[in-house]
Amino acid sequence: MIEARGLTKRYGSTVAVDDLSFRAEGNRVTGFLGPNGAGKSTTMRMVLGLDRADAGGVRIDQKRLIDFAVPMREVGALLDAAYVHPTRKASEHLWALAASNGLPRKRVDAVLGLVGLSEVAGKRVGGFSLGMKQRLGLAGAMLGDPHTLVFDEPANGLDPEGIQWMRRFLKGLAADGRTVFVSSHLLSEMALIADDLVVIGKGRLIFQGPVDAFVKGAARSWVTVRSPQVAQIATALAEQGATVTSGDDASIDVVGVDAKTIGELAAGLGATLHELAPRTGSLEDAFLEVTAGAQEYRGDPRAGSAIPGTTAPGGTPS
Amino acid sequence: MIHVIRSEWIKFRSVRSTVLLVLAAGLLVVVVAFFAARSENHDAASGFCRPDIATAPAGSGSAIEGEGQGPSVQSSSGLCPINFGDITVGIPFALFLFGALGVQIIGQEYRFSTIRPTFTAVPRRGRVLAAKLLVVTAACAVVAAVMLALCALLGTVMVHDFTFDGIDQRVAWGTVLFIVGWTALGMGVGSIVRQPIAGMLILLVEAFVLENLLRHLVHGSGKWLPFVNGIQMTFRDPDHSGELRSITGGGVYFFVVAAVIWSVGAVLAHRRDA
Repeated sequence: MIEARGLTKRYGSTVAVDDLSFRAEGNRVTGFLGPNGAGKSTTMRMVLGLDRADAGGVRIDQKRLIDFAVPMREVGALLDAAYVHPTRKASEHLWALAASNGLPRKRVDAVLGLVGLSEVAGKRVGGFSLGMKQRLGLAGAMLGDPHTLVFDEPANGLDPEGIQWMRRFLKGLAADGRTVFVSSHLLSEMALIADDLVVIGKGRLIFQGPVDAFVKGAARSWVTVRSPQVAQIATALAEQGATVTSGDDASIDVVGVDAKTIGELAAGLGATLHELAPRTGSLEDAFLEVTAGAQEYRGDPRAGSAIPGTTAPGGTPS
Repeated sequence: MIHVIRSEWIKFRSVRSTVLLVLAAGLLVVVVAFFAARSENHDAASGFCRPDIATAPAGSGSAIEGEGQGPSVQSSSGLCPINFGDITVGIPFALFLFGALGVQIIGQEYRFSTIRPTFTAVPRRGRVLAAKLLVVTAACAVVAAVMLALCALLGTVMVHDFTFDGIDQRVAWGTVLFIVGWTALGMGVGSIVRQPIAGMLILLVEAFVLENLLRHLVHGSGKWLPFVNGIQMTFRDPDHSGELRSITGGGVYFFVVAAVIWSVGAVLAHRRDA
């Protein structure tokens, strides 16, 4: 279990992480979300003792990382796949890490096999693709077969098969009883792998809890109704105080009344239902909703249209 | 601790530039010794007894002047004896490479950010730095010892009247010690600046430019210049001008400065974000 209490980190007058407290439990994948510049990477480095916290602290299974006799047996981490020396061979990179904790050489072969890099063990890392470096970083994290794993954007550079493999890998680690703390910008991926979420914005905690609770609490829920008598149903629902918006010709979206009530109301009217579907916004919707005021950097909402000052073919400067 | 030393040794030998740098430093001295031995042998055989050295005041001039020089005495064969110190004239140039290795051993960890997985695996940073120091200085000491042995062998094989006397033994030990200290000092600088190129430039400018300038421009500064005092250990005929410390005193002062700089680097590495 990772437990952070009152973590604070300042860079001059900028407060990157502000009194942040959270827990990542064993047997679960805890997703760590936040907009760019929210302080996720700084927090992860503080969890690993790489950045010194100005206030607060982190305990891993009730201990500081520095207190473990064999740290790699307790915590494995992948912060950035680029943290490798380009002229060092993959196996030597791992062997140097393993040796520092007195781990046997056979662990190097084992983790290389685990991530599918056995065939390139003797190759220099400089020639690796981003995806291969990512797998090498994962292998390094797994060297000590640790109880706690910390991953920053582990799916970066992986192809679709690799992402699918990563999903199974992380869920498998958690199923083994380990604590998996993982950040990602791929919210669709996070929705599939995370059990719990820690969401931060501008260095502060916005949400901590199960993914379902986050989505239900933050994202919009509605019921889609499709019927030949949709106008009649819409009128009846409006009279009951529901908010009704029109979909296509034969459907409406209803907010404020659940599917069971709508079904009973339709039956009472003698209306035929072709669809009665409760819907909830995605994790992405919920994330955008709760972090709307906590974004450090914003793009131009017109992005995708012509760039101001340039001339569209055959047009005038925009 | 033994595990961390083993890890640092694996890192040291598994990066080409590191291995090439330490071998290049050793090889440079041996190659220069080869040509020096050939040249000295030719001069001696032709009866040319290096009057420039016999009459030149020892220890004068720049920080590296006087290296390998010493009083020449005609031998019973009538030829000028050539000392070990006469052919190891490449040492001052190799010193830069040894110092650069010291900078690189830590600087490249920061350059490629491998210091982060290193400190995650071994959160007690002092152990990592101590292991690095041990590995890099041991490797340099071994290479320096082999390098000097090869120089002595070249002198024995190539030079007619080659001598390796007690002063040469002191020069040999002094050279190994100075290389160890200079490498450690380089690692200290690397820990402080965390940039390999900047660290190497600082070493180069400090030793070969700044100390010479200070010595000549600021009267009485000689005793406080670590490089010029320390390198006296590697000379047959050290400075007699009184501007510098004695060989032993200069060596001790040099090691104290190297220890202080290394310690400052270690403290900063411990306190700063990785």
